[in-house]
Amino acid sequence: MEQSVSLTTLIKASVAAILLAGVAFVSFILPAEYNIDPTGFGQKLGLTVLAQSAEAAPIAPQSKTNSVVSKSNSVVSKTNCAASKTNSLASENVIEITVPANQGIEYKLQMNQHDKLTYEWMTDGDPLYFDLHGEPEGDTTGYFESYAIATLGTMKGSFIAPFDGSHGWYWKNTSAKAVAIQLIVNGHYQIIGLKP
Amino acid sequence: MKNFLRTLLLLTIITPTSMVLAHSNHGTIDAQSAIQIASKSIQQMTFKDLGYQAGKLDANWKAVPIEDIEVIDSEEGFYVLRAANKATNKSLYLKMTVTGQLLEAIESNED
Repeated sequence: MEQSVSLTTLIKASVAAILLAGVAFVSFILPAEYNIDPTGFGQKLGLTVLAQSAEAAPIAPQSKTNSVVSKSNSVVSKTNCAASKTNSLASENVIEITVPANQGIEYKLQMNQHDKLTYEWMTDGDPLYFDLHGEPEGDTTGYFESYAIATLGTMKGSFIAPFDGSHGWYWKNTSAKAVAIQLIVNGHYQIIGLKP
Repeated sequence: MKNFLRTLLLLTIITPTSMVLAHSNHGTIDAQSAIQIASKSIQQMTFKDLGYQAGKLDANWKAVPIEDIEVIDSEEGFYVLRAANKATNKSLYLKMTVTGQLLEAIESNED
């Protein structure tokens, strides 16, 4: 014979669920989403950092200078925002790079471990093969770690540096004409630029 | 014991509902974020024609500071923003959804 849950049990379960949801809301959701931490539990767990970083991100300073940061034979890289040379403030840069026909280039940023970078890039035409990767500082073995490999005309994303070192893109142009790339980066980094 | 297990099952089913509700407003952006997106979109439009009416913008738009971009309307689920290019006395009007998707970009000679 099938047993059904009694009304008393249902009420008890509902009340318990509401209480549990209330505790979760006050202890976890309010600190993480809105930086409201009446219990102090959110700060101990580091949840308030999530709300603080979400509030800070849209007001990151943007200083613009229109300067050329690096040049090579047929590859020109331009930035119209000053690169931050400290790791205390996030900075944004707009970089334009040209990948010559049938060649590959590498554009790198110096980042500390756990620094976050958001990026968005697009080509002016054909898709390009790319390898977004990082190389640990001081490593002489040639080791690198790839974060994304694909052939695309545009890409948007973010990553957190798993180690101190240089992080960035290798783009390969297999077509017979040069392809320009606009790269927008935002986060904590120092521009290394084009690597030979 | 069965009652306890049933209660536990019920708790498991009901509790995540509050978590889902807590994230119901994700995806919408505030006016400051709309300005950030507009600034980035202007930079992108100086690089390439993204298919908007404004087409590919002149390089002088790269120098327009974020302070010269403002939200002029935010009704009916859209943001309407205006970017002022003081070097050329031109304006760029952008229409954006509240989720940050750029819908229209029109350049105007009116300052």
